[in-house]
Formats: sequence, structure tokens, C-alpha cells
Amino acid sequence: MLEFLCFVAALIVLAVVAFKLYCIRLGKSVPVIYTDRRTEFKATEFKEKSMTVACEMPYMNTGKVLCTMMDCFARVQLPQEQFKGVRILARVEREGERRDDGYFEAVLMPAQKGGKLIVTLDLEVQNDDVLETLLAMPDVNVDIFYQIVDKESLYIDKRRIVLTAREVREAIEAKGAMMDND
Amino acid sequence: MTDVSLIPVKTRILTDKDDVFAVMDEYVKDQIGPDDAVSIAESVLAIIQGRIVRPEDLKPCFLARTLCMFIPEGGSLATPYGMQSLMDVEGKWRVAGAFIAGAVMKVLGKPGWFYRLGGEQTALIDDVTCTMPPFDKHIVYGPDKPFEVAREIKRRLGCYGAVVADVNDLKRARIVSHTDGMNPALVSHLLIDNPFGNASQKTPIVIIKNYAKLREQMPAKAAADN
Repeated sequence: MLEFLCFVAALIVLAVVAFKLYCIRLGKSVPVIYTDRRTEFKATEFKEKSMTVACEMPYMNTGKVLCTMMDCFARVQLPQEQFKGVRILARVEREGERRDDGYFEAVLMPAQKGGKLIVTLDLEVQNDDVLETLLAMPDVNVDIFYQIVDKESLYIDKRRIVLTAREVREAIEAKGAMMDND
Repeated sequence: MTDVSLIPVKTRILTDKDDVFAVMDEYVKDQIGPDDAVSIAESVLAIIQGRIVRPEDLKPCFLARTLCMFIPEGGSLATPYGMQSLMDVEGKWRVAGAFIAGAVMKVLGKPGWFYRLGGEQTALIDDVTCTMPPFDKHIVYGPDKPFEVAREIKRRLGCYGAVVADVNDLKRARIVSHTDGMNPALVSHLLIDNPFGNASQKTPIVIIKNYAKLREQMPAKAAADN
């Protein structure tokens, strides 16, 4: 009887080890958003009391199995305690899949494949001193949240990019240069 | 040869707040005659029936986490959430048994038994991204009572027939259910180029004009196969 139980236990251990080895051989998904490779924020639109800037950054599944990016959104970390003059609305889109509604359509990420995310920020000035307010803006942290589902789990992760005061200033200067040329 | 034409019917985004028969009355009734047939996309019918679930609302069990590892990537059951959704409707042990039997049969050179033994939902569940927004973040089950729905659609519209079809852009057209007189192979052939279009086209219903006349012209053998 004891021998039989040992045999069954050995079979179970063997099955577990085989399964673990199989999973290791299968590999994992490793979705990466390359925030360190983002482009500069450039102005895409100016209105009377607002400015829109956008940047691109690549993303890729560097792992061995497919995963799905269920959602991706940006959250601006500019509390009024830090700076009160501008309200920033953010949206994330995929290159080639631009939308007007702020919705992020779930996308499959096959192994070793990716694309580009476009982060757009609408800077709405809350007073009449538009230029002065924009030029006084501090660096603004923007968190990029993304939800992933793969063969193992469903999780939310985030990366951070920074809209710098320099980029805002340069966008305004570019606008000024354009107006001078006109 | 009878001139059969396919008319994709554009609708609003249909949700579980809609009623499939009211939708047919609203979008199809005025365009369909007694010689015509109508087909509705199975995923849209399932959505109307509220047969959707968010992965976040599922708690995959150990078995689901284990079995999904053996499903080729890209399959709707290849994640713990897709597998759990199947276990929730077909039963955990039925799925496990079908999996083991399917694996044995596959080793013996007869693939496909997992899908035959695991219950009808095994082949019907669509994982996330398989459906149009806003349901791209949901797992969509196959429709409930598809034969009854097809029969009732036919009765209410007074048309020749109705089918519920699972069609995609990969040249796959599967007839999930159909009314008497409809030939699934013929309808599948007619729908193979996916006239339902992609998500943004919002055409979940396709009218097959003059289907009855085409059916009458078919050889007797084909009719007998039906």
C-alpha cells in the first residue's frame, strides 16, 4: 500500500515538474511601454485659451507569448496645490487608430510585436493671462496606466512621463515663430 | 441563375438593452420579403441577450489556469479568464474531461474532440478584442436558444428563413442555427466574405435577397443534404 502511495506521489510530483517546465518553455508576455524613447511634446493645436500638445512612444510585447492590452489611459498629476492656472485633459491613442472619443480599443500584442502610443494633452488655461500662465507652468507628471491580460493574469501597470516646462515654452515659441512668419 | 444579393443592414450599436425582435422590426421588416432570408451575427445576438462578462468579474480556478496553458495563443480559451468563462457555463469537470479526452484523441491523430465534448460554448465563446467596442473588453458567450430565436425571427418577419451566423474576416462562416428550409452549407458559402463587415461598419444583420429562389434551383441531392 505504501509503495502504491509513493508511486502516486511520485507521479504527481513528476506531472507538476513537467507542467512547470512546459510553462517555462512556453514563456511569458512582457509588455513594455518605452517611456524613455518618447518623442518631444509638440503643439498640435492652439485655441484662444488652450493649447494641445502630443508625443509618441513605442510599445512592444518583448515576451514569447501573446497578451492583450485591454485599456490604456493617461492621468495627469498636477494638483491645484502645485499649480492652479491650467486644467489638463489627457488621452492615449494608438498610431493608425486615432479616435475622437478618448476610448482605447483593446488590442492584441503578439510576441515581439508592438506599435506606437500617442499621448495628447489639452492644456486649458483657467484665467485670461493665457501666455503668462502657460509659461509659468511647472514640469507635469503624467502617468500612463495600462491593463494587460495574458495566459497568467490580468493586471494594471503604469509608467510615468513628464511634460516639461521647457517643452511647453518651446511649443509656444514655435507658435510665435509661425505667427511671425505669417 | 437567380440573382441573389446580400444587403448588410446598418444599425446603431446594439446592447443588452435591446430586444432582438424589436431590432428586426425596426431595421429589417421593411426590406425583407417572403423569398428572402435574414442572418444575424451570433456575437451581436449574444450581446443583446446579455451574455457577456468582464474578465475582471471572473475568478479563474486552478484548473482554468492550468488548462488554458495548453490552448494555442490567440484562441478564446487561451487565457484563464476565457477558460473560466467556459467552465462557468459548461461545468468545470465536463471541460476538464473533454480536455483530457481531446488530448488523448489528438495524440491518436484525431484533433477537435475537446471542442466536440466540451459543450457548444467551447467553440462559441469570444475572448476580449473579438467584438466591437464597447464590448471589446468583454468575453462574449455564444447566444442562448439560437434555434428558437431564428424561428421566431422568421415567424415575425414572414421571410423564407433565418440563420444565426458566426462569420469572420478569416474566411470562416459557421451557421450556429437556422430555420427549416435553410441550407447551412449554402448560407455559409454566401456569407464567406463576411458581409457583416468589421466593427465600425455596424452591420450585424444581413438580408439574403431571393434566397428561396436560389434554394429551389439547387440539385435535389443538396436539398436532401439539408
